[in-house]
Amino acid sequence: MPWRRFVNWIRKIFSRRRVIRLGLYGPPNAGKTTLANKIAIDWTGEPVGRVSEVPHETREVQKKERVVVQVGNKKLIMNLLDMPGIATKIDYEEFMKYGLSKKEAQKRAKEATRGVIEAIKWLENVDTALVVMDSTKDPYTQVNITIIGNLEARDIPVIIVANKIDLKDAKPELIREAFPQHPVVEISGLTGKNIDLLYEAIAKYSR
Amino acid sequence: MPHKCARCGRIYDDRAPELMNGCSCGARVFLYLREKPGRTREKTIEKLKSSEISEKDIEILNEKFANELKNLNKTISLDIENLLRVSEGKYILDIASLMRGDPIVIKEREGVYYIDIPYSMKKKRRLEK
Repeated sequence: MPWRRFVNWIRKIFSRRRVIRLGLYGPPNAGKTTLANKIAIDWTGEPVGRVSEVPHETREVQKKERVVVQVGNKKLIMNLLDMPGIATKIDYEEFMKYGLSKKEAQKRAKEATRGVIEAIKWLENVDTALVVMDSTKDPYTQVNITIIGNLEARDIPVIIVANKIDLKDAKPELIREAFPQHPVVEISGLTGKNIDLLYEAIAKYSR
Repeated sequence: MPHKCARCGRIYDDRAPELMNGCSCGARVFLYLREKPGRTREKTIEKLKSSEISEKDIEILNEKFANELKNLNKTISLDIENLLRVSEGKYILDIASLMRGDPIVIKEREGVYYIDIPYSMKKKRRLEK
């Protein structure tokens, strides 16, 4: 049917605008989901996932597809991939401090461990990575260094997000100092401060 | 990839315990070259041998990282396993190994290991959907 083929051809041309698969990586409680929610609510009206002060709230990869962001006169289409936090040690006793029962905490630890592995597996499916760090914490950690080294080895563009700059003891300059080879954007996912700079960075650096 | 002690020049392999505990000469600063396609182990060692940093810089770095190294939880490199189940609800992960795509090796307790062999083969297909 030549007509159908023609229609498909036209469709293909118009749907060529590429979708960026944007992965949010980083240690637990860095504010990945808060940031993902901020982006998703601003542009689609719906959040990506639940936020909590208890670490490892995100234990499965959360997706929000085709989020269209307007940056200047450019349109970015992104699939947001909010990853579970990556940690080297998961201990249920830490969760019990937040009032979880022993059983709940142990279950959470198991799911969190599975989440870390899941997040690592998803590295293959990410076009651009936002590595989210808490600006009030020391950036020289094995988790941060390993994630960034691995993304570099895979040739995935990295944008470092120095998050939580709304907090008094935030020191985003330490993050800049630690990773001078990558663009660093200082933002607050909670208040939305500088979020435009982040969109600009995504438009500029993502592939 | 090998590491070189910044003070005495001794070469250590990846995951050598000295990288965490310090070289036998007492220094804790090591030079490292990132893995690159086409860069062999021999070439890396050659390059490492020719690169030096000054004694003063070693002192500064030693001081900066000395406190961090006291807290060994921060630097985790396991043996052959990359996922250690210490007890119910307590896990230690070697994320460097997992990120390299090594098959998951779970150490349940001393002498008992589980190896997820199909993991690395399955990985690609599962993710493509």
